Parts: sequence; C-alpha cells; structure tokens
Amino acid sequence: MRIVDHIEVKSNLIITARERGKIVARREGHNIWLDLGREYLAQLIAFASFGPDTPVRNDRIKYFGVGIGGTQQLALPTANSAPISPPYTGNNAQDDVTPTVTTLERPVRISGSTSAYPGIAGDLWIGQVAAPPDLSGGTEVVFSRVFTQEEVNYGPFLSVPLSEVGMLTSAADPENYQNTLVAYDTFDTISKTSAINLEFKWTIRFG
Amino acid sequence: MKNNVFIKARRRGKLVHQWEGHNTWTDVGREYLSDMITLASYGPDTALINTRIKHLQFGVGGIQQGVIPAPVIAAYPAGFDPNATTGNEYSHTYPIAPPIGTLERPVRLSGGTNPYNTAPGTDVWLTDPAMPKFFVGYPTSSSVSFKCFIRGMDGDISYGALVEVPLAEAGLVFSSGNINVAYNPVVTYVDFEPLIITDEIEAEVTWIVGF
Repeated sequence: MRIVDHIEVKSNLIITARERGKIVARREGHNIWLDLGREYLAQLIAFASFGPDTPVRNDRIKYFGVGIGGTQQLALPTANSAPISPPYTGNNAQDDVTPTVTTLERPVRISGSTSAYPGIAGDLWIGQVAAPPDLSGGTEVVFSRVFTQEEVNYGPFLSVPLSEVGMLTSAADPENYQNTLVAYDTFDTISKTSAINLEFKWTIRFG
Repeated sequence: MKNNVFIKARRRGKLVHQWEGHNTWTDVGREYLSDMITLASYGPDTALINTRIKHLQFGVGGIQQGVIPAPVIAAYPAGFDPNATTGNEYSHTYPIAPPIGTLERPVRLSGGTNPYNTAPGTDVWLTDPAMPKFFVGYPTSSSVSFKCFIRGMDGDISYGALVEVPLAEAGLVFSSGNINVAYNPVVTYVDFEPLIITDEIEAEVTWIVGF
C-alpha cells in the first residue's frame, strides 16, 4: 500500500469473447492512460473562470472504439488483405506503452459502409459504454461495453481480427474515425465474427 | 517524487519562510475522480457530479505543529474534527490513522474567534475565487495549479486576538464546499512546518495537481 502518494491513474482491461454464451477467448492486461488522458483530468477538475463558475471542459468517459492496429496484431495476413484492407489500412506500429498515442491505429466501424478511411456520413466508429458504470469500488470505476454479434461484422466483414481498443470521452464524434483517446490498449488478436459477443471491461483506478 | 505544494512567506518584502512538500490524496479525493469521469445517463448526457476544485483551506492542526498561542487554542480547540483527535495528529505521510477527510483544526480567513461549535454562520473558512487572491493555472498540459495569497496586513487569518496564527496544515476543497462552514471534505491534504501568520506577513501558497 502506498502511504506517501501522488495520484496515479491505473487501468486494467478484461476482454471476453463469448459464442452462444460460452467463453471462447479472454485477454487481460494493463493498458495505458495516455498523455491526452492526463491532460483531460487536469482540465476536468478546475474552473476556467469564476462568477459564474465555468468549467474548462465538461466531457466524461462515454465510448470505446476498436481496431485492427497495434503491435499485437497476430493475424496480419488477414488484416492486410481483402476485404479488411482496404478499407482498414495501416502499419501496426503502435504499442500500448507509449503515452503519446492519440488515436486508434486502424479503427474499424461498428456499423455503416465499407468505404476506406475516413468513411462516409452515417458510419459509426465508436460505441457507448454502459451508463452508469460500476462505481461500487469507491476509488475505481469500471466501464463496460459489449460489441454484439451484429456489430463490426457486417457486409463483407465476416471475420475482423481485432487487436486494439481505445477509451474516449463524450466530446468524440461517433461518425469520425479518428477521435482522440484518453486510454489505449493493444491485445493479442481476437477474431470477431457474427457468432461472437465481445465484452470489454475497463477499470480505471485512482491510487 | 516531485514536490507539489510550495509555500513562501514574506515580511515587508523579505523572504522569511519557505517550505515545499508533497500532498496526499484523501479517499474523498480519489472517489471524486472516479465519479468525475462518469456519466450517470445518456440522452441528454448527464454527469454524475459537476463539482470542481475551487477553494483552499488552512488550519493549525497537523503533526508538524508546535506551540500554539492561547487565543488560537481558544478559537480553534482540538477534538472537533471527525476523528476527535487531540489536535495535532493528522499526517500526510500516514493519512490512514487517523483517516483524513477534512482538516484537523481549520482556521478562519475572517470573522470571529468563537470555537467551532459556536462559530456564527458568517465566518469565512475557505478561500473564495471572488477574492482577488486566488488563481488557477496550467504549468504543464497535464497539471493544474491553484495559487492563493494570504495577506496578514489585510486581516487574513490574523485579526483581533489572533495576533500570531501558526498554520501547519492545508487542503484543497470542492466547489460544493461551504465557505461559512469549518469542516469541509478535502480532496488533498498536506501538513507542513508551521507558518506563523501575523499582520506583517504575506504568504503565497501554490498547489500543483498533476496526473
């Protein structure tokens, strides 16, 4: 236990893939609270001006986005060939230890078109987390989001090798493929098919 | 670990006191951060809480405190904090026994000299941004600073019978804090070597919260 402390943002991510209720894949690990996330917290806790009190910003954690980027992509042949690429191009160079990461590397849509980046109007790139989140831990909060069978997998995208996830605030635009993140993780590939529900449980702890 | 609380005091322009150290986050503060990043519901998006850090508060409690003048003891008696301590037990290096949630012996910025249980509701216990001595800044992109000035020559803290007030603890307080109430929850806490406020002292306190 830390006695003399400074505030640290620690996060932990559990990813569970279920097929007809049965767990078929599970990933667990520490991820990274990004520089943009630190900036977000500093701005969130203070007023910009007083009388009337005006916050610097007022956005809260609201979305998760997923992608096929990141250094832990284990299915590069699939990720780099049709029908995944194009439209989801990228290099898979982004890790989850570098705090200067700003966006997903190769974001994928939850629903919409099959157009190349930046997609078209109506494309949905990020999904809302459950509200309210689990605050039973007191000094920690657990955000969760299930990407259902129909999500990500539509049209020609029968199997999508997911390997990265990001956390975003309510300032993000769901129709924009390149929103900035506050937290990021790249994980060993889970191939999302229309038979799979994929649950992300992301714990943020202030310790 | 870098220091994040900086205190300087000058008498007639001459530096007479300088201290720097590191605060502790209270459980109240940690829970606040969890709540603060959270939406309670969507459509329209409703935040769980909307409070921000707005005030600083000072006290004569804390484990580093030394001799306290009798008028100060009378105005700020021990034992009124939530832990009913003997008066100088709170420590930012060991904030769990007693558990810190407020200051131990908060002092008024202005008002009377009654002890806590009979203090009138007009006494002022927290700095207020409406006073032109409180500033918010961003020293880096991932930190925010709260700075305030205590001017003894203006009657801040040292007034009437309170000729010498040895401050030895401080905390950051939410916007939901009541400036007319002595004991408010504190987000972060620090105890420090006593800084004696008199009518000749101007003190500058800078508190940097970084992530």
